[in-house]
Amino acid sequence: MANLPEDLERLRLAAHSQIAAAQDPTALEQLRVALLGKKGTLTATLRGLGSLPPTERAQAGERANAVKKELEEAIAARAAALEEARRAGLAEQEWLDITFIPQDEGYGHLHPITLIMREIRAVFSHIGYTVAVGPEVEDEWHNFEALNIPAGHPARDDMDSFYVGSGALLLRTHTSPVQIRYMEQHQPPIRIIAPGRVYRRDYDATHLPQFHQVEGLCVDSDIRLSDLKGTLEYFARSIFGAERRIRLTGDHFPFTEPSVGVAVSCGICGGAGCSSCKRGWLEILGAGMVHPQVLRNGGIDPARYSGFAFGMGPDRIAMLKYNLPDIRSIVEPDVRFLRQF
Amino acid sequence: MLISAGWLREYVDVPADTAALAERLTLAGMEVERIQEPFVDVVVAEVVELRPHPNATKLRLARVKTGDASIEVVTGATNLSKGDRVPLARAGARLGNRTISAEVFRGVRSEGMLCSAIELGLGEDADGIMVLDRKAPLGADLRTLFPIGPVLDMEIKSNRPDLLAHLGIAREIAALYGTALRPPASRPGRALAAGPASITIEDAEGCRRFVGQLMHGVKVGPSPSWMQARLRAAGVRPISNVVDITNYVMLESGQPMHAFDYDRLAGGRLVVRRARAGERLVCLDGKTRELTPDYLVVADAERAQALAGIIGGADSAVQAATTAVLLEAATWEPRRIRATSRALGLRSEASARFERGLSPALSKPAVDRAAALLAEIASGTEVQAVDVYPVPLVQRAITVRSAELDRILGVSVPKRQASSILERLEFAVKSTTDGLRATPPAFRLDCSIPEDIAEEVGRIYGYDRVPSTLPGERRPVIDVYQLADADDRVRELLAGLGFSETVTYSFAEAHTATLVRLPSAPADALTVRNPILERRDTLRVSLLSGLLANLALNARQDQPDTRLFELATAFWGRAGDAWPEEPRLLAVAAHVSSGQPEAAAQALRRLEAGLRLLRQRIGRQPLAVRQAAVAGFHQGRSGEIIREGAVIGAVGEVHPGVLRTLELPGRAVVAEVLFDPFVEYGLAVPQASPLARFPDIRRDLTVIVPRQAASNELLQVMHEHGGSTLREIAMLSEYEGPQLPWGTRSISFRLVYQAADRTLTAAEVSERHEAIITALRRRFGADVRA
Repeated sequence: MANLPEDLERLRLAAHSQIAAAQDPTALEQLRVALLGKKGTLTATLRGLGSLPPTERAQAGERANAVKKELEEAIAARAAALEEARRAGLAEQEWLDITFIPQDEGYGHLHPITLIMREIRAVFSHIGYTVAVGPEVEDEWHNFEALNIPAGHPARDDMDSFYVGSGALLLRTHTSPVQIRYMEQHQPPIRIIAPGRVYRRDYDATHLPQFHQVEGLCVDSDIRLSDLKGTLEYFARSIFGAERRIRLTGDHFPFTEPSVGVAVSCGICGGAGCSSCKRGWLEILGAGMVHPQVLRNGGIDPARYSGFAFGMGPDRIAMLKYNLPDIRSIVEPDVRFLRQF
Repeated sequence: MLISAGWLREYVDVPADTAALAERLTLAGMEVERIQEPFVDVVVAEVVELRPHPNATKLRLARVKTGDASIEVVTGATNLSKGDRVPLARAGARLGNRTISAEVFRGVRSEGMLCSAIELGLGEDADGIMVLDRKAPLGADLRTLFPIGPVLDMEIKSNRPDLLAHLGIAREIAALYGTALRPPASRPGRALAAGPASITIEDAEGCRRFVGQLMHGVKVGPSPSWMQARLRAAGVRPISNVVDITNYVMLESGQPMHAFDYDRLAGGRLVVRRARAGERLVCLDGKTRELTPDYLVVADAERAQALAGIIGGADSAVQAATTAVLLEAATWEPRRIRATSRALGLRSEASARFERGLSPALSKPAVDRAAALLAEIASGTEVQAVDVYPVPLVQRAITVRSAELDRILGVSVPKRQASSILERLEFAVKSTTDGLRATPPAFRLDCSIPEDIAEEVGRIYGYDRVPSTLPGERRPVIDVYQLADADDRVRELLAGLGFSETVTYSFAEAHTATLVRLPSAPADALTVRNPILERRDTLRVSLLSGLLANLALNARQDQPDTRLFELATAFWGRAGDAWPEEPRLLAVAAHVSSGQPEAAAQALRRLEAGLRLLRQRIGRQPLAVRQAAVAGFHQGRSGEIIREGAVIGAVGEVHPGVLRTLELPGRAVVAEVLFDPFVEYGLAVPQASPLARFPDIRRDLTVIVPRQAASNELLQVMHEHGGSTLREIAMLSEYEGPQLPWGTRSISFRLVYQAADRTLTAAEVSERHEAIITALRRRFGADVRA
């Protein structure tokens, strides 16, 4: 067994060339097992040390262990080199067109009315308004009489109603009845907006039989017209942009006194007048100081409290803000329209 | 309501131009919807020569002069003779919305046009040229002869029927500008109570007042041209002097009137009563209407002669031979008028006024005014005046404290000024110790409470002078609210896509902090001098290492394939500046536990789809990705997210070396973006564009390109060469495999062509399509299979 060092040396050289020749992690692992595993050739050689005379055994053992360590390191280095090579190749091998857009993306869209309602709610909640709701099927008292619109009043001509069932109830023609219902249940201070659907028997290029309104009501001690103006100016600038202005004009509604019409300066011409506006202004809502009789009808003492109310059409606000072609696009089910939101 | 500004000037001076006047009236509650000038730059010309047209038998050439100069115009009219004075519209003049230009008729140039009455809105005669008075001064602007314009189309609110009248508007103008009102001279009708006519109101609930005036010796004929011009400007057709006077008085004062041929009234008397069941009335419009007892009629001794407040009857209408006229000015119950008008589907100028509730005070002055005009224009003489007015109107004084006025309006209008405004509106005002007491004028029924007084003062004082305050502190409004919910909406959308939100420490470990990060992030992270944990001594520059560590933690807890996101700030130190930048970053990460390249590719596409959704939904912009090898990412599966040419994010699979360092088995796909620019600062507003009305043409295209050609580069070339009609390109599929040459890949596109203004032809689409194919071949060496 005097040739053991020679065997070891031969094995070492052979192993190095095998390691260098291994082309993938699997082959390298097989090689490691073949050399250094329990039944591996180097392990067998080490076992053979036991047959050596004690004088030689120590020296040969030291040598064999050094070879084992050397080969282990060589295998690890080769493994690392193989991994590096693999990674270097990945960019090429696994290249993926990340700009390709598959056709099966199916995300839906929210309706522009939802977008504008969300924004209107947010704008008013910021100054302390809460959302109130009322039924869409109303009685004549809340929809008309409590709002100073008795039977035979010309305002009823503008609000041709849908009657329900036997005719005692109707679909509300505006969100104003929520004012009465809320006042019946609450004493001032009151700050509410009431968004919702309303119905009128009207259908043409500028009217839908079903549309939306947002009512606003603020009742407290010492509420003034200037507060209405400030509130609506804040609203209009928040919705349309801080550079926009509002204008109050005289108007008439049975349930407010004084009554005003509110217009916002045109965003296209900046108020100079253009084809999209009326001499620089866009009418967006009607408003006024709550009529004392309406307060009384809601159970609030007009001697102690005053208030303002406003009603706007979010459909129109959405049209102005999102450039909708006309009111009928609100009920446009064409997905090519809906996809724009 | 059409209001003639020329007519208004008879009653009031207007110290403003028409546009400013319209604005002021609108602010005060009388909205001016349109301003129209019936004719502009039409002048008086004289015909100096007439000769035949050389090439047309039905045309003639007229030489006309407006002063020294003369021009030649072509005309088809046959009623002209030399010396006639006629209205001439030279090139540049306007008739309504039409601008006149010089034109050539059958080879002869016409420098303008001679106008007929209908073209000027001054009459109905369309056949001939309008021949003017010979005394009309040559060259004079026709507007000085017919001072009716401009015409204001006004919307009057339903509570102010008194404003459906020129005098009503003039009164408001006088109040707005503080100028004097000049009402038409009126003299009280002679109180000739005794006479042949009798008027009885049987239905007192339906008729509050009935004023009659019997006139004899009336000569029916056309009314004078000034009156006709004014009626036409207000949209009323002239009929005869008697009828025109009743309409004129209505347009002047707001009180509708009717004129009966007295000799045709049976019994010479009028009765206001309910119609009898089955009673019929032939109305002025020629239609016979069946009446019911719900309707109120004005009847003679035998039968209905008018539908009260709505329309007159044909039998007793004034005719050419009429000589005795009974004028009526009554006040009807508005609800009854409205109910009848609705039931019959018949609205008239009269019913529109009555149903708004006219004051009974208007009727007597109206009759007096009409009688005076009849005397002046139609030689009538007053025979008998009748006024049935059982319960005269009493206007109650309204007491309003100054403090109350200030409280309602939110602006302090000095008491003297408030009084003056009310007085100009013809309220009777008395000062009290703490306010005033105002009695509305008799013609107004819409004021009864202090708030009504506040409205009158407010709208004339000007709502533009009311400050803007918010309830409570009453500071002027300067704040605006901007819906800044981009953060929350991004969070909700990502949660809906299956990503869970995590909150991770801002502290990072030095050796992992900068492994994967945005290209714009600094390579060195800021350190914390006294960390609470020794290894966490770095402030993160990216959220990604934290997210990847969280994926690894989940994998160790046997929760593979986790999807996470975080929206938070990172800390980017700036050279030479102690103060770091704190960008808000959004990072998303998904674990692919299988480690399979196909699975990772799929996960990456899904993650990109999520980014597209966020960018579209919040930023309202498409996601722009550029294929690029980004440090820390898989070098073949990464790219940059671009906005306006700048890199604002990175997306791709994580580099395997990074995964090993972070001890995450398998693979992971991630993205990180600068949040605010990515969502366009949360302020983008969707803008709808009109839907295409013309059909589109779709063409599919499959290109075989070098494997590493990115789809969007192909897309860009296609758009460059597709022209304006290439509306949209969809990517249908991609393929790589044995059926294709080595090193190549095929991509299928669907191209949608569409024009906004026409239906495209197959030929023009093919031309574009071919241009695209040629460009793809040249730029990418593409093999194209169309």
